[in-house]
Amino acid sequence: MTSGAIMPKARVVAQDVTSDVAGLPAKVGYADPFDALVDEMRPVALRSVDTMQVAASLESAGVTDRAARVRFGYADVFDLADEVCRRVGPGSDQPYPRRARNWTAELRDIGHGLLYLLPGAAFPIAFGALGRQTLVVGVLVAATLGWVWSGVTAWLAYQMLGDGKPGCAGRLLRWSSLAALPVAALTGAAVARVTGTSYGVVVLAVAQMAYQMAITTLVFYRREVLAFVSMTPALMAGIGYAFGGADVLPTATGLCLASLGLALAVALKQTTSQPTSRPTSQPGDQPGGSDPPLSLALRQKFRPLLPMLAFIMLSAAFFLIPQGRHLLGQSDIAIAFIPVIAGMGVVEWRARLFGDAARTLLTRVGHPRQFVVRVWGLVLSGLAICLVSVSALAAVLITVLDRTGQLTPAIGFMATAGVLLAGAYYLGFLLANLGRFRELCGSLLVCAGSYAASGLVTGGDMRRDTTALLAATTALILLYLAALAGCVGQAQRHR
Amino acid sequence: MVALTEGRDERFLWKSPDNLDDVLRIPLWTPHSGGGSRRPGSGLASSYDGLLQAMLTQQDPRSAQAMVARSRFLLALRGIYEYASAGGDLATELTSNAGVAQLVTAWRQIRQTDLSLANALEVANLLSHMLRPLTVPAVSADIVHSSMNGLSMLVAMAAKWRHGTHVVMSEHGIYLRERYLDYLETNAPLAVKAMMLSFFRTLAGAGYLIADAIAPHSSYNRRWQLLNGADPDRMWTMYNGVEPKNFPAANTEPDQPTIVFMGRISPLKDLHTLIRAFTFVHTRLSTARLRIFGSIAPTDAAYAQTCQRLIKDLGLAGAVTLEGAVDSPVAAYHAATVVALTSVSEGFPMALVEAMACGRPVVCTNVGGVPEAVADAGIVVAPRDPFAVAQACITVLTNHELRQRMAAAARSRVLELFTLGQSLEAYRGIYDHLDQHSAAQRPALPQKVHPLALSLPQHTSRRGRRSRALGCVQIKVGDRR
Repeated sequence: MTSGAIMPKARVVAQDVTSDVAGLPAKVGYADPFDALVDEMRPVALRSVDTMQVAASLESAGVTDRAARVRFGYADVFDLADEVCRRVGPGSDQPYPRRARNWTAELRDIGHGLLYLLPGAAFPIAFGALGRQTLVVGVLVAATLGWVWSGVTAWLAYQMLGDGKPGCAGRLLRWSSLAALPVAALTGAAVARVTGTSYGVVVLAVAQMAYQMAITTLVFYRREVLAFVSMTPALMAGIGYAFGGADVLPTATGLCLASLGLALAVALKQTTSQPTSRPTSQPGDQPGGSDPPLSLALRQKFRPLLPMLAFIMLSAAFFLIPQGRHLLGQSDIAIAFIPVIAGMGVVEWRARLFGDAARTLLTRVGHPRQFVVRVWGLVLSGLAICLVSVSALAAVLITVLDRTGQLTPAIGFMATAGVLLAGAYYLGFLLANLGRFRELCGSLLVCAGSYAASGLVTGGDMRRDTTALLAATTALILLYLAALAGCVGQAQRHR
Repeated sequence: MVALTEGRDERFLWKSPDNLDDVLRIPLWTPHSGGGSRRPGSGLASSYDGLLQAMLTQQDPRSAQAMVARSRFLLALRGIYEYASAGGDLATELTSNAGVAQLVTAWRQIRQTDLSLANALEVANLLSHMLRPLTVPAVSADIVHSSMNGLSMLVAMAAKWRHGTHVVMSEHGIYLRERYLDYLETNAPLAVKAMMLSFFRTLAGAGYLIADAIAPHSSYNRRWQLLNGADPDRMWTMYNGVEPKNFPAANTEPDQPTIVFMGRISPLKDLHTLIRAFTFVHTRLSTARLRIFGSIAPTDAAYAQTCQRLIKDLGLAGAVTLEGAVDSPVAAYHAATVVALTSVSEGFPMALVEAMACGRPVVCTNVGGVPEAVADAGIVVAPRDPFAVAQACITVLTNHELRQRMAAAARSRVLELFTLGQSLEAYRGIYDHLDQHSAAQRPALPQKVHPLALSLPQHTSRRGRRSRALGCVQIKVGDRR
């Protein structure tokens, strides 16, 4: 094209505000240019909501009013768009795709219960090495501290991941895991000094904390298999100690500690080898520039953390107060908590599944009324599955204990309370996911407080005490259901 | 100045001018903080129903029914404003089960098709964010000058209802057309797109209805405004202007043939076409360079990445560079042999006028007011046509005489038609017109007229939808005189 050919065109364009439509090449195979246009615009028209959107698209493709008149015979672009839409017909929405269930992920969730149970394999070794009193005090101290510390860390890490800051989440998990060890040591030392127990509590607290942080990190990165593999030596050590007794105690202890070290190292490695930041968002950005400093990200989460922290602490209290009350006097009752601990994987699985199912439900129903009915179906079916699963585990335990003559009424009551506790935790997770921390904390405060206060009345009677725990847990379930009644049916909360 | 922003943390791109007193931010996309104290009354339900009926009913935009729908929509917006200003918690109510049920029912009645709850919730949420300007106290000013139709006009509407403030609306591009183009690129469900674009279309029509003066930036764009109900008697085409001394003519050309793009890195600028066009240019002129200047909004980061990928895929690394934002656009224009603009939608692009003021020939696409700006100062080609863009660029780059002629024409056209002084004078005329109108209606006139400029959010859809505030200045008539 010569300058002489272009300049007049530019002038015409400037004067008439159109393009030189005569110069547009005709589409091969079309007698009518309008047919060619319709075919060209068909994908756009099917995605468009009205004729004005098609007109906007035509204009952005260079079709002007003059082109509409001269080339296609319509008064302007808008009339042309009308006719294009008429010829193409209306578009239609694709139905929401059904999400395939990820059974591997679901099995991993269910397996979390075994991860939580795994430290139990090392308790006989700790018992042999440190004695009963030190073991019980150490476990209670470490479990409380580890529960809160790892819970807070996990919540913050998931928040940062949700905010698109995986690098911050990784740094938080790494530094929190490392910081947790001296904190556990200091706490253990303080408890040993106050209670007069052996300083073996320090070792136990550090070991328990290392395990909690390793598991928290590996679960965060969905590396549960690595957790199992890393902890296999500890499991083997526990089994070996059960058969070998005191002779193998040093070896078993060393193996347990090595296993813990391995799990923690593997977990810390995840925090550095996983992607640490989103892809750079702008040309010229430095890699990792999109993740802010960890301190800034933490500051932003400080206020929302407070109710979460309260919930974690109260949850820990509700679980550990009865353990503390009984373990110090009758350590064999601890066995009654095995079903609920092993069943926590099922609880987490159902809680996660509920969120997914509720979101899917939004795409399947067309009115809030339908949603309310069906979402309650999801809540109650999840609750039933949790109760039945943990009941089945409890039934196995009770049967075994009964056949071996070790079953006591207190263990039976405690195992039953554990079943209800699993249901309460399931409902609690739903409420937490819905952000109802006020109701959660209020309910926990009432129930944990009532149970703690009941100690004044029961006077250490095991049967009356376990009955009080059963009552408190039942009340907790009812309070949680009442709290859910105010929010779970609101469709907006499940987006 | 009122700025509709995404959140509270946006930084200013430019230094605030001395006559800008304050910037009031209205963040649209921060989480809803609650705050409303009043439960909804029948007032909200009936207003919301009116809004839904007006926006969802399909009709020819040129029809009388469409005009009635715009009026009903405006009335409904006023009802919603009254509800929110009386302490109602608008966002909570719109997204409650009752609010969503109202939306579902209206859709089914009017459109006779099903709507999933997920889609209804998506729309309810978007509306709750977009109507947020109605929930903040109305600004107090003598004139509200909105730099765009759409959400910015909600601020103007509130001021008009609360204080009887006059409203001037400039429209750089066409708000509705750009929303239509935005939503073509989103993968939102068709029902969501239909509802949101119905909202934008009716809101734009209501904006034209309530504005006392409408100032399109090009004659071509008037068509869309007229189609959507604007009153021609209240419309004045106002071209953007630049201060010539701030954009001195370039005396020399770069050593290598250089095409410069200056503007936001955004899909509306269709940089893919420009980059593709450059492959032809580079084949013909191996020393040629394409330098792309401009900032990247967070919402456009993904698009910028596609540009970078395209440059790499086409083997143009080194020859094509994304230079980022520049402090001095003059330096960018002076670094050009030719300035290119390949937008698919425009109003009256400032970058084009600035480049012309610097005496640079331009190659640009035939959209919006571009041809009116360019005339014989460059070459106008069809949008989305890399080959045409390339041919035009090669022509200008290889023909020294033509280039010189276009450069001279560009500078003189700006001095003749598009200076800042002329632009301000034109606006002053509109303000005075409204001022006189006020004098006829009101017993006392303010000593000064304080027009309030509104910035616009450029939002896209979905979750990915986010807004971007453009800077506007508050102009004090008293200071100008």
